[in-house]
Amino acid sequence: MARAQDGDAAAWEALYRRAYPRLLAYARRRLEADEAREAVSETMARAVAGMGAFTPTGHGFEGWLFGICRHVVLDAQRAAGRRGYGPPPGDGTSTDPEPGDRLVRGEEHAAVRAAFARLGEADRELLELRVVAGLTAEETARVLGRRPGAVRTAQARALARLRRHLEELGQ
Amino acid sequence: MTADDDRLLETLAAALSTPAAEPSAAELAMLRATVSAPREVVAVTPLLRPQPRRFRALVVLGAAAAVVVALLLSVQGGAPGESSDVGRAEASLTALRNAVDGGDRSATARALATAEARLRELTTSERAGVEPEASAVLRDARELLAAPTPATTTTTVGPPPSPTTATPTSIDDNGGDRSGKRFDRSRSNSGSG
Repeated sequence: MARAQDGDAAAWEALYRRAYPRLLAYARRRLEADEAREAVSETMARAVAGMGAFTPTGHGFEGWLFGICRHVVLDAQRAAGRRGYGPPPGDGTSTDPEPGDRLVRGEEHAAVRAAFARLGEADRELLELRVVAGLTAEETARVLGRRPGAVRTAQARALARLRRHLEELGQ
Repeated sequence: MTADDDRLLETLAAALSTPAAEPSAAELAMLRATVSAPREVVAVTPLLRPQPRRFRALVVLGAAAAVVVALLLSVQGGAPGESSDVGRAEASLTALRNAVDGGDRSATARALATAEARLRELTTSERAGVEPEASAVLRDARELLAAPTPATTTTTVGPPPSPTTATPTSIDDNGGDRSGKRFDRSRSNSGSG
């Protein structure tokens, strides 16, 4: 991190490679593929430009970076004149190595995605930050401008709603 | 956080997972260019050192003249067809956007005050020219400032890369996994720099 703050390109590349899959997955939940890649690039450009203002305290670099990404994605959505979620990335293929389980798990995942789609936007965003971006509750709180305790409570409620939707879908 | 919640989060993570992705060569090149851009500006400075004193004076005079011209342009209205008020307002909005993106509340508060003042100086038509971006960034800034201040905790050390979407394996009552704070156990806490 210190090397990145000193403008070390190799350090930035390492940070980029590490965060890229999750940044892209997060952006891809709301944007088309090309837009999502552009959003990730823009996120990193803003991070490089704003690194001088970043202080490695509180909820860390990842929370800060995803906070930038969230704004970039919102900007892209505004520019495109839309709000909310774009098409899901592909079919959400999961890499299940067991052929015998693939069909069962594929059905289960499809049901979960259907139930997830029924959630409100706030619930979806929170859960995506936790499971797609892989952020901690503290980092998620930073991104959303909320308290970690509030994030945990909201997460529990969102999961309860998700479970209810799953039951309604017969799962 | 219950065991059922753990399992549901794991299933959700798997259901929302995407194929592994990594930055393209072009994206990496763009990042390197972004990182190195400030250095290229600084790198001009050493060129002045070996030059004869007279040549150095000429370079300094030329730079000074350029600065004066730039200042005059900014005072008199910047680029043709654009008022200096608009330029200042746009600059203040850019600064505000950067502050918001950085999540710095105090910087955001200062930048917001500046931006609001600059926008008040605009005529109706000038204001229309900076919309809807102006309203968007003002709204983001106000949302950031209105949000409750997050409680300070210890620094979260970032993890190494995950090849695909993070998948929770075990999640504790604090919302992190039991081996650390994150969902993906494959991501250790050693690599954030």
